[in-house]
Amino acid sequence: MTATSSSPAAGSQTIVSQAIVSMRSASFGYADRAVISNVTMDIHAGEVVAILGPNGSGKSTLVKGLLGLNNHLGGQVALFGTPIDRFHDHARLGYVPQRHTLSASVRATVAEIVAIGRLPHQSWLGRSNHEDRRIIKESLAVVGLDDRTTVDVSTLSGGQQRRVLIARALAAQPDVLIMDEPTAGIDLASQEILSEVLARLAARGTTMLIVTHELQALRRVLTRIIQINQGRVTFDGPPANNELSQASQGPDLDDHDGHHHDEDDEIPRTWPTAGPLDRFPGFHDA
Amino acid sequence: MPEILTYDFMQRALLAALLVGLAAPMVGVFLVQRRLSLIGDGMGHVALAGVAVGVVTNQAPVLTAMAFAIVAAVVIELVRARGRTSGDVALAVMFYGGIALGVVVIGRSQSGAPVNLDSYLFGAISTTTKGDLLAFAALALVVVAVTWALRPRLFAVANDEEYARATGMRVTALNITLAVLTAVTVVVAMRVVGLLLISALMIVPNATAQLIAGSFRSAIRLAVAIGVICSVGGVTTAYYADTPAGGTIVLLAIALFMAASAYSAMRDRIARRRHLEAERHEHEHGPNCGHPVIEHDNHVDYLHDGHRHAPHQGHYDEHDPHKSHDDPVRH
Repeated sequence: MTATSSSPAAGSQTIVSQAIVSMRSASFGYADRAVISNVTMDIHAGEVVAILGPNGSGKSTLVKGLLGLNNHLGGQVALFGTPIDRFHDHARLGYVPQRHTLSASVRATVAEIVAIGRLPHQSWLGRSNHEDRRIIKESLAVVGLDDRTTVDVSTLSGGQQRRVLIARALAAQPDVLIMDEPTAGIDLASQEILSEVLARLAARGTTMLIVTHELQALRRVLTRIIQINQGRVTFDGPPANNELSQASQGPDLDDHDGHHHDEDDEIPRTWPTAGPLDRFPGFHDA
Repeated sequence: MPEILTYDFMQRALLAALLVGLAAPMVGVFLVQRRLSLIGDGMGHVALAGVAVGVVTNQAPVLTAMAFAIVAAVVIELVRARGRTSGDVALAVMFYGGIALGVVVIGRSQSGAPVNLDSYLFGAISTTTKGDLLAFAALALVVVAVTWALRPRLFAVANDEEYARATGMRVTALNITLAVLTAVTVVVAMRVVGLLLISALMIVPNATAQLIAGSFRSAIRLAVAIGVICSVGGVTTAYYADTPAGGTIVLLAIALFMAASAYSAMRDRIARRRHLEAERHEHEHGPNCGHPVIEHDNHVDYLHDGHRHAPHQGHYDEHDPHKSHDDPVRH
């Protein structure tokens, strides 16, 4: 275990500094071909990290590697202090995959999809009990969809489906959310709400690792930016030091929609439902 | 007692039909969900080779068919898991190879009397022996029990394989299990509806249920009910109309599917006519969005500038309180 805890006497709050993710010269890829290599970083509880980079840069490969979805080809990787090849507590990693639409081959309600997130906590013969249903409902409340639990997911908009996937990840009660392009390719209203959902999760102290093209939707919540280009980390630091987050039009700016978001700081017209999971139900009024 | 129940062989036939009608749609729903509706056909082809080998070697054809179908099931999943584009062709070769081998081996049969392949291809439910029935009953119960136990995980894997893998589920093992369950169902149903038609009993009741049900859970229940109605109803009809049971069962299932299609098309048309879409707005209503909430039938309306907006699919409907309406839109 590489876990270290600071002394609780140091301040009014106990700061636990065990790294959630710890990598030393790590590389990931498919078969024997490394897509991203020589990654060294620690991610701690409470951080909201954007992983930026152009298509094909290796940023998705990095997070999928942490999830065990591709091959760990070198270096050391530890999750919650456990080496990745011995890590089996997968429910602690809440994965929100990049999906434009959910599979619509059969009917499935919003609640049925979110219930999948509870499976790691259930035995083979177990079924959703009262507690599971409460957590499912709360997870949907956080993303503002608790009025749609019995609706067929395939009838929802792309942005709403994305929020269903966030709720599914939340239902597993993970210690970190790993999101792949949560704001890509969705309509403006949904993007605004999604941005609020992320702000709310950040306010709850949720650790997040967000692979993204678009910083605009995330700017308010980020504590750190990691930039990846051609399989290497090219920047790792607070947003204030990152040229891209300063809305400059640098040569490698990867802003796909190419327009400025002038209304970014405008107070949004809608807030998602204040869910019972919120530690600060009125934080957005402050 | 109705005449049909006074015969031993019909009692056995009805019981066999009941078991198959129960098991086939339960397994089939996951094949529909994974878009593998035709995989049961392929396994049926391979099972035919097993039947032939059993006949020639004087083994019970059911056992050899089972062995062949299970091997095919595992191979199918391993080929799919490797994700090669040539996998599709490899499966086709295996399926055609199965049926061709079956025909050739039967042709070389030394048993003198030509074996009636028809009874395996199209079913021969009234010739089910007591021993066969016991074996089918046991196998069908195993299929039902295992499918029920694995239902949440099979659903999760079929819905989003990558997510299931990321949460530590044994995705390949679950997929192989589903394939083996399919293989066993194919063999159990081979005497009832026949190897060429078994896939229909796995798929068509689910297709029908999908048209009507509103959730995965209710769709499974409905599909199983339809499966039982079709198989038992088909055997009964076949007895009185003197038609082959397998074909009768499948035609009945298709008739129900067409009736459900007509019903669902009519329902959608009525819904569309009564359906008034609200003006487009970027604002998304939610329980705490600031707009007054009105409980309305079994959904929620949001009072927006004096009119009621009810969430429907990706937009909002106008729900005018002054017009009587019986909520034509499913929520």
